[in-house]
Amino acid sequence: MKWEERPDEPAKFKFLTKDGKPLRILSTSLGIALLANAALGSVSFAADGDAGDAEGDQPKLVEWSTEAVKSYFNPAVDWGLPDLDETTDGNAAESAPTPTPTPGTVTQGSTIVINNGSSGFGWDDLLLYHLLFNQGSAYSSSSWTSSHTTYYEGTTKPYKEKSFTSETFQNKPVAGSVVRPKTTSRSGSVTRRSSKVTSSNPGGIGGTSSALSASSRSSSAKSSGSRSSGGFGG
Amino acid sequence: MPGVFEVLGRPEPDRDARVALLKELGFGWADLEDEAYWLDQIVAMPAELYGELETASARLWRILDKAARYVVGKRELYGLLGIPEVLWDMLDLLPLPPEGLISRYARFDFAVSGDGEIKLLELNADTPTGYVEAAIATPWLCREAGLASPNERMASRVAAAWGEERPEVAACVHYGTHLEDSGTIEALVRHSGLDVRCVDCLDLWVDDGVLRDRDGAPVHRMFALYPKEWMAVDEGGEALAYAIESGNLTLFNPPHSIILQTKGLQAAVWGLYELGLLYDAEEREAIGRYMLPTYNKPVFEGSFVSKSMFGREGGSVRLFGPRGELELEDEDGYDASELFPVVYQKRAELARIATSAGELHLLTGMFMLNGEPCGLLGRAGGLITGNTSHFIPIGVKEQE
Repeated sequence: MKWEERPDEPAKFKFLTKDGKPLRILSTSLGIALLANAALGSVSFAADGDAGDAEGDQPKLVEWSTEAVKSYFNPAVDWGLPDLDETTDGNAAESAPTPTPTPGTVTQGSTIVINNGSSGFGWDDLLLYHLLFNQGSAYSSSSWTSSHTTYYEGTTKPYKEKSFTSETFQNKPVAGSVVRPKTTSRSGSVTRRSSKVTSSNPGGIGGTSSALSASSRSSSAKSSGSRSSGGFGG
Repeated sequence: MPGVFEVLGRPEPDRDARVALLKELGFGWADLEDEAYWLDQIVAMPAELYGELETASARLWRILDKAARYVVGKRELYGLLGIPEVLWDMLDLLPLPPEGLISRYARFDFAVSGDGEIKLLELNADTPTGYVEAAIATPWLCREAGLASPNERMASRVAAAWGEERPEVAACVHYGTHLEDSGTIEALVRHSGLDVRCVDCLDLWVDDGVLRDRDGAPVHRMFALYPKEWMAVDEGGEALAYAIESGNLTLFNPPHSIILQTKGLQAAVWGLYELGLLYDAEEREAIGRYMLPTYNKPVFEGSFVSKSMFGREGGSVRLFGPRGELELEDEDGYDASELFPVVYQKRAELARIATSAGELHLLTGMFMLNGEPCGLLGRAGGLITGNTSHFIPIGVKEQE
């Protein structure tokens, strides 16, 4: 059964057929990926007529805000954190009054928690704590532990923090970087080659593939004939 | 065997003379060694059925175009649709062609049953062949038999498409020795009316991102009968991809036609249809009527077919029976499922026709040139229309 035919029913029924079985597509990886993409908002469901909701662009309070916060809150005010690039430019205020909200960034249009309301703890306090504990520099686990010796529980063995290098979090190939081979944990290293090959030799385009497509499993006269061997019929 | 299709005529006794005549026209592979690839008879299709086929093609073209546009930029979907990683950057970097024109040279393959039910089997949007059979042999043979042929328009549609694309070079692998591919690009060049050089892909090489021919001259705009997924297999594939990404080479069909080409896209369309996403009521009606349930996992209760997302000429096709048992598999084509993922599609019935070569199954092709349906391609063979199938022209019977 399809979504738009029963718009009032709970979402779970939209994933079931008329006889109560789950949709076949949901048993496949592709189905899950399509659904996940839809959930991320990149596609509208068939019945959705008005996807562009004007109110959705407005900042709104989290639902557990106190009455004091609600009275203090004014949606017309820019509640986004200041963007450092814009303030250093010096001309952002005149040229770009309100940045357009984009998914994944916390700017105007996102849910706002007002921290300088009744709690008494705000951004300035957080900055003060940071200056005190990290002596004005960026937080670093190694600089903290080097001046604050701690021990594994119940032992006199000092805690040694993990160390990280620029390769530790490398999650995409970087040309020229040295990585440990994945097939062994013992020794050796691999230097990544340039991320793109930019040259090839004659025979490199179509050579291997035409040999593959000519290697049919049959030895019939037709497949070894000149119409099809090594060609790319569609 | 009553049905919507009617087989007309008997093979002429002097086949050699007719084969020679077809060769003169540009169709030089009507006979291959001792086998008759071309069947000297004609299939007549009723005009109403042709009309519906044309409408179905136009509607499905828009539906698949919409799905392709939805897929662009979603790398997790590229992976699930079997698109090799070497192509991902160019798909994301290059501009998407206008609506309906991702590929200006494509062919649908339909299963039209004996009672005229139309089901889409696949879309060859990257490097379809059968052009010479459809654009040159079919109109000539239909004229001879007094049948109308919508294929008469094909040459002018190619001229319109190439007039926009303006390739300077047309290429295929083994140009000059591979009869079918060479004949195909030569016919396209002739019909385009442009001054285009034909070259062998094997002579091409990439020099720091610039594609060059045998003499070292740079090539900037190229029509290539070279399947893009093979860039993942060929030694020079990555360099060719780089030439395209860097803008030094504009390729036709354009890179995004690989999204239309993968049979995984049909599974994506069917998935979106089942989930009630993306498509409006009119499009959903067309999907339900003309497409087959297709998934990337065998989730069927009845009989189904499995095929590689980039299988060609029936290679890699396997037919499974109602209890999921393997009934038949293609023995002639290259099994591309060794390299690319597989899709599973509900089985559809092909019309059976009585020909001079015995009772055969008819596969109906419809060319999409410059975004418009024009041109029928008939192929007759076994349950799987593979490399050993025959070409049989299809004409349209006027309404009485």
